[in-house]
Amino acid sequence: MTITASLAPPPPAQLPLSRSLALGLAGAVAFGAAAGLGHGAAAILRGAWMSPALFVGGALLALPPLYLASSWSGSRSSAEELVSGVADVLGRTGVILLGLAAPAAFFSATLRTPSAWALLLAAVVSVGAAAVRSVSVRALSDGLAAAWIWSAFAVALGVRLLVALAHHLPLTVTR
Amino acid sequence: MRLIDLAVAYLVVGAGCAWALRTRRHDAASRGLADALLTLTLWPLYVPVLLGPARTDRPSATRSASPRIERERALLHASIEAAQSRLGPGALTSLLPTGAQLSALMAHLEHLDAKVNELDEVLSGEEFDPARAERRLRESDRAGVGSAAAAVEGARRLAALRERAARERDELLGLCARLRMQVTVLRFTEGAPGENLGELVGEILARIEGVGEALEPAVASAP
Amino acid sequence: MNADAALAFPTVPAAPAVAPRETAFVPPPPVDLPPGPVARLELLLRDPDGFLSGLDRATASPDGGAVIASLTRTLLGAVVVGAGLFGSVIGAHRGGLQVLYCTVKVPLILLITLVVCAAPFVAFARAARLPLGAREVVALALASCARFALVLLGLAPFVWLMEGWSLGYHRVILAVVGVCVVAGTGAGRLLFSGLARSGPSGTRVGLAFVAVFALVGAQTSWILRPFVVRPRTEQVPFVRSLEGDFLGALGTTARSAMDPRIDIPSAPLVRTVRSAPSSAEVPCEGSSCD
Repeated sequence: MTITASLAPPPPAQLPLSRSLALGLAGAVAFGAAAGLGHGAAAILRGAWMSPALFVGGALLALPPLYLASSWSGSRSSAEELVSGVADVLGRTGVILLGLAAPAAFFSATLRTPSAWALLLAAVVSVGAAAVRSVSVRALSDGLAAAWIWSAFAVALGVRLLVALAHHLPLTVTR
Repeated sequence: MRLIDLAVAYLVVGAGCAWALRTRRHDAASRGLADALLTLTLWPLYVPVLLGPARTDRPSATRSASPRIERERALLHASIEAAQSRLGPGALTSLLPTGAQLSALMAHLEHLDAKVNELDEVLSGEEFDPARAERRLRESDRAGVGSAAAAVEGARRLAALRERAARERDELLGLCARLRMQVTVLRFTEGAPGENLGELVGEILARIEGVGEALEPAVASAP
Repeated sequence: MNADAALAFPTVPAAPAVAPRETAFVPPPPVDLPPGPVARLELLLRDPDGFLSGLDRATASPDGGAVIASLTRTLLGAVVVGAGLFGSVIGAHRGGLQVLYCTVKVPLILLITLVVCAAPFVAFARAARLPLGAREVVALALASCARFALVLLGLAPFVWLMEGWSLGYHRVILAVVGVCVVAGTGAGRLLFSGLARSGPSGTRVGLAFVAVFALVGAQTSWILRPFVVRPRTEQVPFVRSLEGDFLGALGTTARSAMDPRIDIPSAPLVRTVRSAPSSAEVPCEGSSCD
């Protein structure tokens, strides 16, 4: 009598859902506030709500299409597993943003040229792209087409959010 | 906030860290002064070094066993203790495995379990995902076929290693469960010695040999 | 009957210690960190894999905290001394007070950059689930910078030679950049080796860290400019005003290199346009003299 072993490797260890979400939120708030540090209290507050709106809001908006793409790609992951996976990626993204708060504050206080906006945009796009890729690899590994389609949609969603949030930004440099 | 304001805020935090460190540690005065200066000026570097936790999540010999193995250990131990207390010193009790033998069995189970967990961690990375490696192989151009094929082969070998280790572990756990059942049967057997005892001993030996073979396939043991 | 003399339970080999994490790299034989600071720095330069092995064993030992703290002080000393002496050679191009200024400023570039980048480095390692604590991450980053500073120190005589041959301001700049590239390669080798030992994501973490470190380091060096100053410059401040940025200056330099008629300093606004040979040339001022 042999107990048949499970052949599928288990997913990597994840934090609890609430802790992942809290990390994601805290990291985004810290990064946004730090990015506005050199431009006054209004900029700090603006960054503190815009950054979570972008990262956490983007994750929430991309979740339903992710479930559809996962179903169509033949994945057997349940909705709960997908949510848990996305939350885990959001938590890790929050950790990265928390770490990047220090350089963000440094550049905010010392860089007073239009390059500052380009650098901030590059950082946001890089972190967002890494998060999209991480979710795509975890949730859509069974279907390449579904992964590409969802990733393209997620990137487009991120750009749309950026454009919407940019209307609230004073795109000049405070001297 | 300008650079000078940021620098002042930085030094204020550094001073706070240095003060907290001095009240917490009781080093020699000279070393304490050096630490305080370094903490004041370089606290993002120095505070983690003085107070930060060491490496985390590294596989080590002290990793705790999985709940499944712990449960089997507890059940086996309980059944043997119950059998010993019921049977008392005698011929039947001498058939039971000893504490040292059980410890060695559990240690080997933990080793197998740790091996499976470690392989799981490696395989959960995208570099060793067999499905992804095969997809890369299908999509690779001629230049990339060689490396993609090596990746596929490596992924398959690791997956086979993991499967073998998990199968070995699970077979061993199954045999432990059978051993436990046999010990429980032995505990309630009141047949005349020589009749049921032989059958029970034979059955237990066969089970233990199965465990032994699982542990050392190369050992040719005879009951 | 003695229970221990009962059933011959099959001899089970002593449970081996759990095998160390298998990676694509064959780990070197275990090495302990030597006790003295000079010996440790020598190990850092000569045998980076041995140094990493010693660092691993030190962090795993019961008194790992004290060993790492002692090592940290040694590495900080190496950064200050190595980079400081290299700075004095750079400042010697102009001489005078610039020697002292650069002796202070070059180590400051490394230390300020390390301080700003410590948090993101730890965050990247945590997000990638590398089995590295904050202490090890900081020690690795500091060791890489110390190696950088020591190689700078070793190649400082080469820069001094270039200055002594009077090959010109731009060739001295090229020599300094070349030396920094060589030193950076040595530091990168240690960093990536240390991260690769921790898992398959180590290389990605290293690339992310290098990107952040490069940007912060460039901005820090811009804040603390000038370094290499033309000998004929009369008065040089400790630091210039905080205007412009490294990327903008890079673009200006690139345009200037492509069109030799234009030489536009970024600040203050003294424009020198070389149009005709008869035009009097204004003494060089501003960051283009840096």
